[in-house]
Amino acid sequence: MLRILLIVFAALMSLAPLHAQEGDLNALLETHRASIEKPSRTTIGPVLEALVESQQPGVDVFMEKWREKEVWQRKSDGRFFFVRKAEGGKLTLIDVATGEEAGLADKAELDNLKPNSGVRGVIAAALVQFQLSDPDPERRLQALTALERDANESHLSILRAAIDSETVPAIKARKERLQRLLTIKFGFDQATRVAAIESFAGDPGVDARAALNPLLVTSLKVFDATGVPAGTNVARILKPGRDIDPEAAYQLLVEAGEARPVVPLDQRKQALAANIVDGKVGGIPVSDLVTQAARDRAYLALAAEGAVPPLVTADERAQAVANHVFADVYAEPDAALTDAARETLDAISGTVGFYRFLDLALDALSLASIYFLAAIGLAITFGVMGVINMAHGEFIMIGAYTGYVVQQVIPDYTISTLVAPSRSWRASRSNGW
Amino acid sequence: MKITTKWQIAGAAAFITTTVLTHAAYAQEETIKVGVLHSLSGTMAISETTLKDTVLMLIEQQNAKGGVLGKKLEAVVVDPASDWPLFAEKARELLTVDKVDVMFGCWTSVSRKSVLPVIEELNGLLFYPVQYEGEESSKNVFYTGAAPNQQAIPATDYFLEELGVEKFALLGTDYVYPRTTNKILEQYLKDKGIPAEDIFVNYTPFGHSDWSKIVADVVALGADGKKVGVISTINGDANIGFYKELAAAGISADDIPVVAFSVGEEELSGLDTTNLVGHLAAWNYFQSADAPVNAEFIKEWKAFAGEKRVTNDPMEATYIGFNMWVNAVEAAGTTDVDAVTTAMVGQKFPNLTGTEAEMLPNHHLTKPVLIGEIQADGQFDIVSQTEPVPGDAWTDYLPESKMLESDWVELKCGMYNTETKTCVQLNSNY
Amino acid sequence: MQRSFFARQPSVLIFISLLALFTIAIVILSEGFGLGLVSTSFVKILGKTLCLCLVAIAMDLVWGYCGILSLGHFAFFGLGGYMIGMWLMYERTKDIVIASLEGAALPPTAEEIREGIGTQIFGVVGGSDIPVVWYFADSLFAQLALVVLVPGLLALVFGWLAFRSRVTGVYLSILTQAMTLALSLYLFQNDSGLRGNNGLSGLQNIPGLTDMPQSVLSVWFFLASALALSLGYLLAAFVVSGKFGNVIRAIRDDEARIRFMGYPVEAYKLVVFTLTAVIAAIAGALYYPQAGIINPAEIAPIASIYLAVWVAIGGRGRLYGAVIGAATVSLLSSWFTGGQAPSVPLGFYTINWVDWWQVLLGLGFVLVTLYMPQGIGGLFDRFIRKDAP
Repeated sequence: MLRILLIVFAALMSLAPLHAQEGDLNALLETHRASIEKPSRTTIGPVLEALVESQQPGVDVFMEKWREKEVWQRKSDGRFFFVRKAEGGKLTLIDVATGEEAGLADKAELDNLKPNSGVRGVIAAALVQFQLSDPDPERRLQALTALERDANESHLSILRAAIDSETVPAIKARKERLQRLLTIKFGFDQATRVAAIESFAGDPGVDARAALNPLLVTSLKVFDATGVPAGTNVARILKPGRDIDPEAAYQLLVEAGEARPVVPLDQRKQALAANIVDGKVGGIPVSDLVTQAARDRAYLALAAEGAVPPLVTADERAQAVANHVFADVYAEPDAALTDAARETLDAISGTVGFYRFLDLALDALSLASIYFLAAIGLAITFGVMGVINMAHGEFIMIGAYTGYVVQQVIPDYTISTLVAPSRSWRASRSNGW
Repeated sequence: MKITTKWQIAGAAAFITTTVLTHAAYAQEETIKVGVLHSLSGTMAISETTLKDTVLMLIEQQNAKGGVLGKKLEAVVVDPASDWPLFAEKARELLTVDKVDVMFGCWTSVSRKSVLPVIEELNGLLFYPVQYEGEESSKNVFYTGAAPNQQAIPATDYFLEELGVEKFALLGTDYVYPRTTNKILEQYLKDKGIPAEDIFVNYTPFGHSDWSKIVADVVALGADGKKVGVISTINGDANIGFYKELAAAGISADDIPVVAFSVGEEELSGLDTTNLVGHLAAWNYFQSADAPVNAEFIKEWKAFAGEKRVTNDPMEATYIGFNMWVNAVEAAGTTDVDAVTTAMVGQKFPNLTGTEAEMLPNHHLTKPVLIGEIQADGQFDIVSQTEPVPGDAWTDYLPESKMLESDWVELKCGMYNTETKTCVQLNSNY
Repeated sequence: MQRSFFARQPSVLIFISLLALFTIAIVILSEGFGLGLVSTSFVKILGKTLCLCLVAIAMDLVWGYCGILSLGHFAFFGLGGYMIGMWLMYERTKDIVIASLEGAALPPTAEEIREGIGTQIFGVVGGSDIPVVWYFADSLFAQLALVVLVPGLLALVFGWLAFRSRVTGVYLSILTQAMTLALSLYLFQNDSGLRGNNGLSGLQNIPGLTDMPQSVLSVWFFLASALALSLGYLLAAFVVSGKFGNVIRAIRDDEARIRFMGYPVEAYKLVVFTLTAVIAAIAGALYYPQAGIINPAEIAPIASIYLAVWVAIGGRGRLYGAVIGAATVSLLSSWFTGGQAPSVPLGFYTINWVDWWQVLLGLGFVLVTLYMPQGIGGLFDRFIRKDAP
């Protein structure tokens, strides 16, 4: 009884200030109407920021309802409302700012706002600060899920502040784990980040790897013969011919502007076609140009005349590649971080391999027992009577249908399993045909 | 000797019976014949029977309006039984024995490729109502389904822009449509700056049912911290296993969204969709499209076929194709294939999603691209709708087909090389 | 002592003369050559049916006479089709590619032509390289040889392994069915290099004969099929009539006994198995240019099972039985799927043949096997065999 009273009181308290500032939220929404009507993940950020910064009461409720696809818009004036079902298929409009009823409307007069899941993710991330310390554990969990999906730098401090006040042990553990993950991504000082990284050794979760792997992103870079400058966090030096294809290495030099581009085959063909004089190209009759060798000769002849850019010789390419150093370089400049991340990932991959083995073994066992079950019946008819029943699969199918029908009649799973061997349904799925 | 006579009589009798039976379709009253070439038995029957019913409904409605050119329409329904060579045989039979003026039919690309040589030889007319992989344009075919740029490319854009997907898993059944579509998408993604190692391509056989390994692999793709999205060209009943496994692995659409090109209302009607809520499908039509003409169509369909039946995208394509054909025949004043083909290009007809479809010179339609999120009731929430996009027969995203063009009005060629300014071939490549 | 071959096999003369009469009648009535009473599509159906009769004869030889229930002969049929299909497709595409490159400034190189062909044929399955299995595809004679060699060698190796290990009866059926399934699954993959599920299409257009209308071409193929069928019948009758025929029939009836009498049972079986595989392949090579498309679904195990059913319906152990069975079932299916079969209104329910023909066909199979173990061909025995020994 006391609890109900408290809830009512809390509800009244939360409604009270709404009366005072009636219309403000509506005005704010009006200014952002176009973006709210047709939201996109890339454009909704500033709007959400403006909403949050306005500190208007009811903003969080609006954002939550919006995410749940429960906000409607009146076509005639573009105002936003919540709705409740009313008599006769009509909808009762509820003002978003005051929570008061604002008359009835026909469904045809309204549009339901349906933000797509990209936008919903952004809204959820913006809601985190309202929900992370919410008294309702359900909403705190929602906030955590949103953070796991999409977090940014600002969330780290909010999350750290919300850990100590947490009372539910399971949620607290999840918050702490998430805090460590965010520290890896957004932490400021090296020591805490390394500590956070090392705390995940042997943790098989995909999220842990998802936090660690970005630290180890490398890119292929070219340096001149003097070598790699000091202070570069090098993953490894690549030796042309062993670690990197010389052709690809040369292409890299071309892209870096360090070497002349190779003339591709179709450009050479076009150059030949453009230089036909009296039925001849570079002295070779056009009708003879039916092999690549003849075309190469013609091209070289043209190049000698200076009519086309000369070919890049193999020697020239080899020389250019030999004069440079190729290396995979970490995007992360701090070697301590990358070393820690690499070691931790190595430790994780051992654990993951073990779990994968267990997983496969269990899968194999379950599939094998299903096949065994299906085959044992066949073995009896065939082994004892010598009759091979080509239609044995039919029985599996009939079993599956029986199981299905029985489950429709007896919803309780355990009882229905007794009535019909419903697991044969799974068997028929695995058999396929 | 006596024996021989008996044999001969039996043989002759059998021969005469069969000949008479095949010719029994002659000498009817003056009607315009419409061939329906959809499998009514075999594996494809479940999808294609719906389209047969759609054509029959449209014919019934047209006859109630007084037919075409003052004549009644008469449906000639054959059953190619999901057997691809039989499609060619039945198409020849429809054109030469039944002498139909137009055909509505085919679902799979193989069946279309089987029929193509026959209709091009006999100058028939086929309306093909299913989304397909493109790279084809025949003088005798009107493609009322989506080309890749009207379904796959916009869906990929949606993934990139709206959902921020950075890593792609292209999962498909091992046959021509997924192969070609994925090839186009791979090139498109690379052009958009997605590195090759962030594109995971996997093909599975028809009816594949053990998805646990593949789904686990897809989840593991997220290990480098990038957002993963699945583009599914999985066809047929393999989808059931795939979605069940996704649900069993506890993957929500917010973590790893899946957009499917072959899953519509019809496919979902046999599934429990509570675990699929939020996953996506890209089509040119959804039953949930908010347009008066759609509400009318759904009402008529339910009255014709049953209250529980749903409508889907190939049905809309059939609807547009049929009505355009009727208008083209009225405009040409004859059912002659060449005259109708000429009258078809430029035909406009309102589609069921509130915009207008136009038949282009390359025999493809303009279509809006709709992206829908699956809801718990098996219907789709439309979250994105574009303006009508003109269908492109030869995709611009592959080096070998970007210089090809199809234009049956100006160039009179379905495979015109714009670089060499020559018509590669007049027939299509089957 | 020994009577002449035709006297021992009276059905041969009757069959061949009937087939000749039938063929002449069809040619006279055809659109391509005569009165135009028989449509081209029906000529094609008849031509294909004759090919199916030929493969049924092969099946009868291996099952009805030698007792090997092979569920793999339709795979050999399909392989024959694939082999000829590769040439048809390659050459047709080559003509198109050469014609399209004609206007270019530089004459095309051999590599460019190959690349063009590759893009045309394999573009549809997302590739452009010509796989190595297409090595001989530009030569008609090589591919014709492969029609015989590939299925023949497959049958030889497979049969040798199976018979040497004394795999008999139902185990052999399972083994051959597994081979068929494996082959069809392999061909379903795009990596097999034969266009996966798409298969080879446009086979009805014969390179070099592009000016010949299908109405004429179909008659030529019909004639070729009729010739192949009569030669096949003759060969089969010859094989089963002599001492060889007696041995293989004895193997069917009591294999162990024949082995103890000193006959190399395995060699006999291998010869029959390989010979019939080759006949099936030739039938396939004639069938698919008429059908126009071949794809792995054709090779699915069900097709081989159907083949056994045709022979069972027609009556195994008699060659004309196989022909009757194959022709009946194939023509009936063709008629039912044509949509001309009238619906039967029963008042409370209308029977649409489209929904029911497969059920009825299946029921027919069961009834024939139950009540006419000799098959339809067995009916003829009642008045033919009176004077036979």
